[in-house]
Amino acid sequence: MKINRVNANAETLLDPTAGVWTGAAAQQFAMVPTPLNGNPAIKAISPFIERSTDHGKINQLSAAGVHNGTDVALRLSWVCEKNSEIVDLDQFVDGVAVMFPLAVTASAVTMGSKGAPVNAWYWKANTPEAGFDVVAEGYGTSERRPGADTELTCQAMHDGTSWHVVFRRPMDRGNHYTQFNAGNPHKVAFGVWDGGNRERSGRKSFSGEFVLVEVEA
Amino acid sequence: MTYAPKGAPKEKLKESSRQIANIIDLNKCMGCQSCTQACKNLWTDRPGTEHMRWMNVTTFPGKGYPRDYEKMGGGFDKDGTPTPGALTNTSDVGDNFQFNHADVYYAGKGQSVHLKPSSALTGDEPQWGYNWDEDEGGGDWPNGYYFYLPRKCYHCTDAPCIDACTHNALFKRDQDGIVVLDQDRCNGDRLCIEACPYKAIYYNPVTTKSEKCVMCFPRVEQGIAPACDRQCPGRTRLAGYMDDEDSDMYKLIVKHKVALPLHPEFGTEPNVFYIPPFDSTKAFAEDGSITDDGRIEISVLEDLFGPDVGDVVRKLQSERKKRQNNEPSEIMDLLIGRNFWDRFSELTGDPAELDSFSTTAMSDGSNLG
Repeated sequence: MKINRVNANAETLLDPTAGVWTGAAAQQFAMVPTPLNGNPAIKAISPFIERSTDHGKINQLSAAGVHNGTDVALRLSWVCEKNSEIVDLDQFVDGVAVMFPLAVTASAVTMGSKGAPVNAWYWKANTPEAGFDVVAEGYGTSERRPGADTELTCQAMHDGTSWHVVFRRPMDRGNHYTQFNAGNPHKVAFGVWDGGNRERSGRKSFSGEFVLVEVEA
Repeated sequence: MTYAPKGAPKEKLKESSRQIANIIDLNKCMGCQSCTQACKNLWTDRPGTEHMRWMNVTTFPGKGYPRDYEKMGGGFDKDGTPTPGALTNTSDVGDNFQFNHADVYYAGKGQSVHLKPSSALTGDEPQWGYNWDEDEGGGDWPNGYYFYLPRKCYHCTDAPCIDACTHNALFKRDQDGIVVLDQDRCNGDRLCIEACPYKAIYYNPVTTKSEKCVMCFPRVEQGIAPACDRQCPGRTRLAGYMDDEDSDMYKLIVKHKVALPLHPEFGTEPNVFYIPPFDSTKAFAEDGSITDDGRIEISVLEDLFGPDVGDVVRKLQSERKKRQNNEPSEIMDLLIGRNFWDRFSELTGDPAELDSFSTTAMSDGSNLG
């Protein structure tokens, strides 16, 4: 995957319909159900969710990235009916997350580990403009921080068949968050939740282990 | 323990030095809903909690509350394997009926428009609600029967909600074994609701987090019985700690073994126990004569309280017979509860003297342990 350098202001980067996304090379990621069933590490944090079997309905995600030297933005698209409100008590909303390692040895599959944390940006359809910044050191340890703390901003639109969600954040937010340096390689992984399939928590589909992402100089 | 870090083993979260418990005598409950009201006024008068009845009383036989909770799954099977169940919806948990007060009282239509409820969710005429099947009961004419079944969170020893939460938001307090749900850790994933076979956890759509009975822990900490127990005008309730061998509650549960958990087959070891109905109205025979048999079949009670309930019913009938013959019966004395305070052992404090408390205990865990 490649995050292209563009000449556009921060407001434009955040707009999922902006022209900058037409030129950005989107990469298709095959999404698979998270391995819950029979996973001892999952069983330890919830022997109930370990028995989940019908999750991971979304099987493809399209991701594109751009930056303007100051701000970086990622645009994620996937085909899904719109589930953006919790009207009844048994309903869930759609969501998407992009994860980065905060340590060289951090694994996306385990959501990091003690001493090797991961950082994620998380968007939920019922709070469409407020992303969450998440840090985790293994399953069940994720801590959400308001996106505003890191100037993480989201904008989303559903075009009738697909969600298009843009995350935008300053490239440099210090050592405790993912830092983007133009010209250096980075790593990324994705997760997506289909609210209509009662997906939340570990019930989701994900892209597997981290893949390299190039940030254009 | 208590407030363990995220990722800590579930066993740690289920440990407690003491365990608070309850008995509810189903022979004395008259379905007045005083316990329901006491709880509602104290705990669920906030936005998003309108549909919640942490304490509830429904008619048995009936669908119960939440509707058909017994059929929704959850808990553990015979081998101890977790069995995730279904989630409750707004209608299941009794809705939040809206009324046309404005039309009836303020629009000059008082003679032509009648007060009627509508569903908060759909705006339509409700098709179900709290206590919808009140007093319908079961049995075939002329041997119809029913009794009232008060329910709340059972603060289970092997609480499946604690197992289910991936963020360890649920845990037992060390000092009393009360199962609490930390609002800061809750992500609103509702895995706990799927796991609870009694469906005693409720989702708050305003806070987008789940909530449950807290056994009135700020009262318990000051030696005051939970509001539902204290407010019962029928003296159906006993409260205390399972290690207090002098308590009336302990004697009925452990010494005399006449109080039983609801649906023990769910495998969660509940800590609220019931005195089963043992003297139901005598049944008519086919020729219209009155028999010596009660109208409630033992098999019906076995479905609720497990295989020991037949022995318990016979024991209670025998003890009652003793008292009718002017012979002593400790069990009957305990159940009668002549002294109001005897039922609450250590928890006889006066709620009027309750020190003010902060509900931050529910959110940051700082004074939960």
